[in-house]
Amino acid sequence: MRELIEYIAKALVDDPDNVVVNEVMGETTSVIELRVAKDDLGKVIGKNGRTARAMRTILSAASTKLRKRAVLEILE
Amino acid sequence: MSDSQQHEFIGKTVEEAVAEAAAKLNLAPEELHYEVLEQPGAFASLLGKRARIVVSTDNGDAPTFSANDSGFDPTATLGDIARAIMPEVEIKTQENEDELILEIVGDGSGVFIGRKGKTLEAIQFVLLRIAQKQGWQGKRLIVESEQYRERRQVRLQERAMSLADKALAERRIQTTEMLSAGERRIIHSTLRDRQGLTSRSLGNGELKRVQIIPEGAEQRRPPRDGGNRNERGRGGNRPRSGNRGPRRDQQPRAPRFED
Repeated sequence: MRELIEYIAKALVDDPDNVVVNEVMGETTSVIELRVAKDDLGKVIGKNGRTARAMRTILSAASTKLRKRAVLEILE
Repeated sequence: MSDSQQHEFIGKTVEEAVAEAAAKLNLAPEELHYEVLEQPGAFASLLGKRARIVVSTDNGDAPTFSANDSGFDPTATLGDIARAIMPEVEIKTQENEDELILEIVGDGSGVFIGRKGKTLEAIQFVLLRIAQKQGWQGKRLIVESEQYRERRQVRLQERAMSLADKALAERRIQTTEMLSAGERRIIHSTLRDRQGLTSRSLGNGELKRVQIIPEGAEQRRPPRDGGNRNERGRGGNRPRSGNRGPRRDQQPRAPRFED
């Protein structure tokens, strides 16, 4: 899951070297924290949050297979 | 599409890039002259690192293939995303005049489709975003799984035609449910060749309705609540109240002329 978000984020931003993704594991839910360069924030969020929403949708499809919920947080 | 004699190919491994090049250029792998531009290391595919090769073709024949100079490989990228959802998937591609259809073949559970196609929509959106970012200039990319889009398209075409029939028969504007841009496209293009009506999207935001307007009905206001019964009354009352207006103006003016 972490790799999935990292893969997508790196492909979307201007500055892939500054993409940092952490996974904070919980018992049933894990939180995926995404950090990107300031100028790239818009690229991973998208107009009206559409890109972020799409990533969350893909993430939840991926987590149904693992029977574990994953939440994406984009950190500034 | 490109006339140059050098073509870049990308694969998870050099062998894969060569195989891809051979297939696209219609040559046997042994016949290719190529140079390796980038070698991926271990775990590279998940980090977006790929093998890149540049192939020179000997003859001047420009090969026909749908990739472009950007080096973006939609099949490989979609495969990487899809495999994160389910490890055993295959991406099948199919081309027509202006679309490159990428089909995710999984276990048939619909995991790539999601409720009301939400997951499929999300995957397509992200893929298009990445393609745009990487400078993809090729055909329109369509992500498909388990014939969902095909089925949806047929349903929307039928719906467009029946609303058009109704619009023409009743000479009234018909309105669809809320549709996404791609779905609206299907409605508009289905009706492009129908005589005596036009179609128009209505509203703001990602989801909009499509109005199907028979000729002669264009001037009417779109019925916001389907309140067609009022349309005569509303139109008829306004001029009368408008006529009353000038009287007030004339009275104060009249004394001035007497002065």
